[in-house]
Amino acid sequence: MLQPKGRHLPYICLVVLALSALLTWAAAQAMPGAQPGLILGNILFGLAALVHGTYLMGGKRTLAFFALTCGLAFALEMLSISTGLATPYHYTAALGPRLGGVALVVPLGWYFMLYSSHCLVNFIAEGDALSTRGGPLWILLLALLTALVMTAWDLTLDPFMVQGARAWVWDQGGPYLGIPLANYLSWVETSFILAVACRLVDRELAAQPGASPIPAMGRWWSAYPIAVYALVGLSDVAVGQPLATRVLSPFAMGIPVLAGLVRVWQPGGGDR
Amino acid sequence: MKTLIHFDRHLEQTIRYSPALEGVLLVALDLLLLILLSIQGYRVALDRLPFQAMTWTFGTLVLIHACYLLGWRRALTFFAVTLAISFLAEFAGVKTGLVFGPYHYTAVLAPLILGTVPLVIPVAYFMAIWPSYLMANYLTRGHPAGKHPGVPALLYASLLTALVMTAWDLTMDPVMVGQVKAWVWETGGPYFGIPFRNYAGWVLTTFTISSVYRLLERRIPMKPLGRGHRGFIILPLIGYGALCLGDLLVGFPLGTRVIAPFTMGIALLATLMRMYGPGTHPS
Repeated sequence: MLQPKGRHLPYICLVVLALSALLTWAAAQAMPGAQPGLILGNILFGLAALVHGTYLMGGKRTLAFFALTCGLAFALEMLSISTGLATPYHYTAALGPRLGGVALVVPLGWYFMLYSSHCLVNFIAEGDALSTRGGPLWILLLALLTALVMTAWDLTLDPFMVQGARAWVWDQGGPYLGIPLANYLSWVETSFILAVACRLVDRELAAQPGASPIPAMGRWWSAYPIAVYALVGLSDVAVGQPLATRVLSPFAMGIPVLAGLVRVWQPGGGDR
Repeated sequence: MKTLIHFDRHLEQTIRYSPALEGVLLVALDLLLLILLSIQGYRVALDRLPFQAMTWTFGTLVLIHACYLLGWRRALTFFAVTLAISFLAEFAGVKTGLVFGPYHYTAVLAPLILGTVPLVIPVAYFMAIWPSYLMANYLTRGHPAGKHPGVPALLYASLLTALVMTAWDLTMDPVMVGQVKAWVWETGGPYFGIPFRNYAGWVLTTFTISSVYRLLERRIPMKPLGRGHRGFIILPLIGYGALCLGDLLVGFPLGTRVIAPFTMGIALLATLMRMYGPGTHPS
């Protein structure tokens, strides 16, 4: 289904990534305080998003998306931890090995959730998993909605990771269930930067003369990222910590899921 | 009165309207929105905000807006269905504690009907469900009103209407309980002192209102009083946005201030993108 040239590249990358991810997981087994389940979850969802992306938009665009989100997320997290520019926090051993204070699976988490938010927003706004319409202003609006949809997840993720899984610690606490309000501004900013970068590079790659034709993918399979996003939201309803957060994701994450899902089965995304 | 005939691209139907009436209604709506936004203020401490005046202003705006967009019969049906079902749910809720959990209203929102439910509460339901209805229509069908989807599609739109409306209560209820003290949760609850059942009750009540109206709507012809351009359709959405902005800027307790941008904000931004984005109808 992919173009002949460089056909094997995504698979080689996938194998390399899977091996290094498994090594991380194995290393975590020997680490006191590490929670292999959390680590494995990020790795599996990350790999699945890579496979899905390769079928949806080709290897090149998927690699660009992956490299941009992981690279930028890692750089921004490391920067905020080492410089103390953002509100101070630190990762515990729960998420396994760390580099420069950042748990290695965290960029993978950013990747698969940003990919899910990206596709979900495309369904909401354009009725398809991939965005092809509009000019620069439209791309910025898409990125803004992506940033809000992505950060909606953190309303429940952060309290759980702090109070339930104890994966990171806010050094000074904060008014939102122990989390500083500034965290949410940083999340919106970070996901906005990532989303803009991904969308601009993706448009560029899609417009290249030698770009691979987009392989045909069934409409329901192209909506797989919506299912991931919904699943993450539902899990917060079931196991969210503290209890207060369990009421949030049906609204913060449920509204975009319903708004995106309805367009999956409308012919042409419901646009007439 | 002189009437004109016009094919409306937003409502996808031919409408017969009086330019004089359309003009009067538009001026009235814009004035009401101005009054609403100036009452909101965003500088006054929340417990001193005139909630009753805000609700009556926004409620009037929304009723006129609905009459303009849907015509008298549909709008008044929606209004009546909302008042009846919300009053019944609230009355039964206060008396039995089974709908929303055990609670009672204080004198802050007086007068109370039969000493139970404040007069302003059913109006507040309509004021919030009207923008939620418009937003759910845009998000599911790409237009504000006027299509007759089948029953499953209608229930799906009702679920979205209920979520968009109840999203408001995630930040409104903590303020009204913790600061304004307009009602009291007798046994408290895990979400800023509010029981989870309150949110289940809200979703159920608003889902019922929306479904009953959407079922009735199919039998009533839509007769707008004026042209349905986007600059007019957006007015109640600005009101919904003002509620979101208020909770972001002066929400109580402090922790709730991060919530509204992601609950009401996402719903609003997604709607605006479906209203104005490429691939939608030109104005």
